[in-house]
Amino acid sequence: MSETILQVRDLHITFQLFEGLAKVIDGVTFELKKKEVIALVGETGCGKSLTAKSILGVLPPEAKISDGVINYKNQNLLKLDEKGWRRLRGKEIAMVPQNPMISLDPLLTIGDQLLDLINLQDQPDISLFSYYTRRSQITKERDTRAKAAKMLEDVALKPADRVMNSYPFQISGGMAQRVCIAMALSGNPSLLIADEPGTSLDVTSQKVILDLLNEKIRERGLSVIFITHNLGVARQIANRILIMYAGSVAEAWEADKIFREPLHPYSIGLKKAIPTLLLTKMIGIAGRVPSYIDPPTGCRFNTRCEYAMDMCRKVKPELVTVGDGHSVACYLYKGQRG
Amino acid sequence: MSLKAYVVKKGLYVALTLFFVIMIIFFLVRLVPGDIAYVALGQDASRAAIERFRSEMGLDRSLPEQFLILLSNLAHGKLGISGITSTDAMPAILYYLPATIELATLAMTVAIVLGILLGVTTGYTESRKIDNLVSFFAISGLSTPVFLTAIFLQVIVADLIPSFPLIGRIEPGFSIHRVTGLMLVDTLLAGNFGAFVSALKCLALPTFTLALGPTAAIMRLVRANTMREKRKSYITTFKANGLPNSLLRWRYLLPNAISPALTMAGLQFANALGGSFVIETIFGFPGIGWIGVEAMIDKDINIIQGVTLFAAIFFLISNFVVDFLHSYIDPRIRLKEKAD
Amino acid sequence: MDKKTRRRIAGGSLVDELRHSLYLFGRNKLALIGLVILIAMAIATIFAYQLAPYPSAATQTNFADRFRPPSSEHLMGTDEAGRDVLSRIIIGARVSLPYAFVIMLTSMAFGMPLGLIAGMFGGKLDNLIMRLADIWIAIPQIVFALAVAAFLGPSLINSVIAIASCFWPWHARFIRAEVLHIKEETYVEVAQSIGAGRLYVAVKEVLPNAIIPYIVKITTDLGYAILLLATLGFLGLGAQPPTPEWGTIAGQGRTFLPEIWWISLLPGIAIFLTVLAFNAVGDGLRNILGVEEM
Repeated sequence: MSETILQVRDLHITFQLFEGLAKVIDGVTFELKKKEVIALVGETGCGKSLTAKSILGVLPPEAKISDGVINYKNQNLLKLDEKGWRRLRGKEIAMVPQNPMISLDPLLTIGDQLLDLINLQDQPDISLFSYYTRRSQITKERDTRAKAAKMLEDVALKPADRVMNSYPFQISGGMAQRVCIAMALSGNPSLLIADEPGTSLDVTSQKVILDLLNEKIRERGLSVIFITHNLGVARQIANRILIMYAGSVAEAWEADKIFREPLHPYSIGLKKAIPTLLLTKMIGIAGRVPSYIDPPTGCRFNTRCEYAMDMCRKVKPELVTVGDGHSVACYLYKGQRG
Repeated sequence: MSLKAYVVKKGLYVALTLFFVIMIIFFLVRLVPGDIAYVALGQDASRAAIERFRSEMGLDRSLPEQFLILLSNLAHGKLGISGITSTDAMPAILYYLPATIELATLAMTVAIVLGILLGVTTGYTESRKIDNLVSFFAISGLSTPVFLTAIFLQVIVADLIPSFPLIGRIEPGFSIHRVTGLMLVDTLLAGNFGAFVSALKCLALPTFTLALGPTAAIMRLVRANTMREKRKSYITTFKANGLPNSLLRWRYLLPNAISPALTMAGLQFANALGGSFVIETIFGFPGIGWIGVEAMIDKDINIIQGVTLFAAIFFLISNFVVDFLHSYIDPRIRLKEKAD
Repeated sequence: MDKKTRRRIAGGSLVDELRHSLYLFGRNKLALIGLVILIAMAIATIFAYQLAPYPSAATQTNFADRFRPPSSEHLMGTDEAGRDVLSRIIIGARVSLPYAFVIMLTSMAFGMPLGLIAGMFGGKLDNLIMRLADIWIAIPQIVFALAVAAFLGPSLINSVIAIASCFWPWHARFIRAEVLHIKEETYVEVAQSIGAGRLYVAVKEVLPNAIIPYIVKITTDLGYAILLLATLGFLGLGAQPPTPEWGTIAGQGRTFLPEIWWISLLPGIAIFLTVLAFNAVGDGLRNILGVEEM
């Protein structure tokens, strides 16, 4: 049985706004095992991206982690200083961003950016002066240019040299996404966070990218947090699916099983909303995502839930285990804590 | 297109613009209501003096003729007779030009370097206190009339450091052989370190005064850009994937933050030129601003024309440099132009 | 954070956004101070002769009292002709402020229509107007204004004409940029497809939307106009003595520096505060209205 590589317990993230304190992430708990792929699924604004960013420590300055624990290989990420982060980022944990075209520096060539990453990932913070004086030296010494070319070929970008000499605006979205994947993998991380990869691409390109990701994940035995709003995509790529709503986990289970028999009313609604071939009517979930400043008391889904009971409006349901590896946060179901 | 072709294209554009600028200046001068001669010589000048003036200045010819005379003069490197010097105006202006170039270049360099450094550092560390402080500095710098800073400095420094030079390019007692006209260069060429220091001292206050406004403007814009770029995906992604912080800030974020500010820097240079008129007058700094003001008070037409023309040339050159830097930093500009 | 994220998290309505804007403006201490100063200036302009301790200081000289340093009798001292400096500064507000508005209105009158036409009609006309503006801008504003003022002859009116004449390209460019931006919007396309003439569309649809960022620009420009006016006055090419324009007063006092500092320094500070106020308010407005920094 694999060990747990990442543990997130009762995470709370707030944004201080004029209108008030926005409690966006309201108690997220989950675990990631080695070589496991979990998917965080939810609609836009439910906080999945935020959760991922907090694991890497790249939250926007307005956000604050007000409570909770994030443990990576038994290291508390929330107590990490800059030096600690430098050891982790890129080499242990890495990120594939959502929109690749804006995730590359528009003023530098792909090669420059890739080389920077490869050359400097394992160096301590380098001063600008030494960077410019030693750059060509390092590149030659460690033959990083060849390494970079190989990394690009590894994500099916050929000819690697041409891509390396191009600027981001000269390559297509699909190519850029592959570059981002190559960059994320350049440090040989154990944990990969993929933030809606392929969302900004057309469906065909998206499939290609997902296949590529799948291949790399299996090849390297990566542990992955895959973020998406598409339940179907999640099912294809993940072992376990966590469905998030308005800042907390609603339900978590093995991918196939949760797809077949979702329990949480929100999950059921999500599944129903997936269009089928014989579509006669689009089915959505009534209502909108609530305000985070003045969220509904109790379960945040109670305003849209057809099964809402009194209890739902008073106290927020905890995530309880209702079966083997299956947990739900809903009063409709009785289960064990934890 | 290649960088060379780009430069040539822009160069032609500058030349063309210059031609029309000359035309505008020409018309400006001649749109004076009433007779220029009377304006220049005063209302109760003698008939003979007026006639002489008019024939000297070529005012008795038709307008198109006058324009052609101006152009041919310029082609020969002449501007026309100056009332102050009684010879052609060009040599006088060329004599005073290096001082202004020295002052303006120094001030703009300070403004750009300081503005960028301050802009990036304050933009990166976002704290409410620094926010307010920076805002205040920036707006104050833009709101201070140039003469106020100049006079204020003179008064304060005269009080605190009585021996500090408040006027001129170099302190009396130094005699430097003029080679380039740039005092800092000439003093070094003459090997006179004491003179060099003196020239530096004389440049200190005018440079500070001239650089104040542009520094504030540049800092403000660079800071806003930095804060905006900092949140963009490429910065967070590279940070997340392990790029060192210093590299992130100075090699990745900085060029992106500066790029939009370059155009503004060019405009600030234009303002600086105007500001040097006042500064040179107050600090007794003999540059074209100083002589320009003198000429304007005395209504010396050709010097005014010459000074205005040079100001425009300055501006066009600085814009040209800005465009060049822009296309150098941002590959999208020069590479996308291929499609044109 | 950007507006979209904020809106999504806060989930407010238009009214909330308005309150938020006012709150932002109020929280901006500098903008508030600026607003207070502007109101004070407005009062000074209107009630100048009532407020000034020596209302006759605008014209009447009193050579016995010349060069008195600031005291309880003359809070800002007297100038080279024995006139109370404080009174002259207060009365001077009647010169600088209204004439700055005149400068603004004049250059708007020229720049706005040109920019509108250039933006709406495009093509050769656009090119022509923009080339003209480019060439005009090549001559730095101060130099331009000085030259024109020199040739027209130094006076307050002439300096107003001079400054206004160098401002128009900026207005034209600005309006044109806004027009182009708004032209892309669908509702303009719709209006045009229904058959509305271009000029009609320009005035009815485009202009009202271009106004908001324009207001910010005008606020800052007013400050700059005052600076230019004062610069010309200082050099002797603007308002002529005894007109108590702030720059002119300071210029007159220049020969007596550094011992007699109050004649030159104090009007300068008045200018600084006024321009600061305009810039601060403009800045505050820009923050609320979410206009991009130029």
